[in-house]
Amino acid sequence: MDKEWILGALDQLDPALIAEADAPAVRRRSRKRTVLVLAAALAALLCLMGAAGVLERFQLTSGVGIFQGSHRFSADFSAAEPPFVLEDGRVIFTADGSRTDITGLIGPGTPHIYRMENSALPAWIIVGGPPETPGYAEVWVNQGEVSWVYQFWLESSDSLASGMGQSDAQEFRDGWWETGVEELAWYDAAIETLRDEIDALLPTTPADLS
Amino acid sequence: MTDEALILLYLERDPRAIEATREQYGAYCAAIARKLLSDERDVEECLSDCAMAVWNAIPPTVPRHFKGWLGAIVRHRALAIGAENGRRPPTVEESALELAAALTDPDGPHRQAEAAELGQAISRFLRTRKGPVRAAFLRRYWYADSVAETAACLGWSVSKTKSVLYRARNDLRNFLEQEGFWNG
Repeated sequence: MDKEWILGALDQLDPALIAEADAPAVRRRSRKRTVLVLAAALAALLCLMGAAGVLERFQLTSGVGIFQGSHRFSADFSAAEPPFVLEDGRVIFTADGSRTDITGLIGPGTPHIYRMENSALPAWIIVGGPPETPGYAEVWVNQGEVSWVYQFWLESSDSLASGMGQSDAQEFRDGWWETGVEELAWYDAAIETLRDEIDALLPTTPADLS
Repeated sequence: MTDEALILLYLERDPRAIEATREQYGAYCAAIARKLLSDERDVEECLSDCAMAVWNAIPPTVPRHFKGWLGAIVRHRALAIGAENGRRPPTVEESALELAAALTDPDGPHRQAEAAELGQAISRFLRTRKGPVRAAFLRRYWYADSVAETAACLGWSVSKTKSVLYRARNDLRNFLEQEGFWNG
């Protein structure tokens, strides 16, 4: 497509949009307080096999079924259970069996991060968003890649949205994990917090990356 | 002065309209022109042309969004001057090529829609995006900001900005595909 044509097409944009973008509402994401809860072993632990592991089919702590092969990555949310319950307007974290009230610890840009220690590698459960409609995510490292699933309340459609993804080491270091989605600011903040920790689990040398 | 009062001056053919516009939006217009033109003489020529263009346009035109409408006039004229003189900052070409590359259909000939038609479709697409994504897209492709400038404007990291722009371009491509832009 011709660049002059593109430049001309952009001339036809709605003037209201143009004016709005002159002074965008800058939403600087502040470093929010992050709570790390060191977990005891869980009955439903995600059994990762290590950075060079070969685990392909497994169930996350959140109940999401995962198939992670060399050429395929899929998630089944049909049995997913949030790692919290809502009781009388309070958000009660249940993934570790502790029933911890995390209402005051989460917000639209503030995550509650639960770190799971397991056989070889850590994985994380993250809860965040408005306490009235919190979302959650589960992040793990397997086969040298970072993977994640999340469910959150999408304001624009007033519905529950599910997402999944994975990044190899280079993509992760390039920041491709950032969603840029307003409702997932808490998730982006959590990964920013965990960035170095996750990075340390990923392949570092060209040979490792190949 | 409100935009309505300013427009009223133009409608009454009051020459104070030009000075009032310069006071209120001179810096905004100059910033747009300087992004698109690398020579200060071209910038001055552009702003002078635009002052005349606005004076001639109102009436009969009564813009609903004066600031954006004014910005579009400046941008249009600045691009024309830059094309005539062959003096455009590299950012302009770079951002246009970036967007054009994402919108090229690799599988076949695309419908050569009118630029106006495409512009309207891009506006419809942008209205479906969240405010920050919309702003990032416009800063980069309409205001011809560099990625680093776009990031600074939004308070994002450069990597996040690249990521958001990449997704926005892909989403726009899918949107245009759904609107039949590639199937004509």
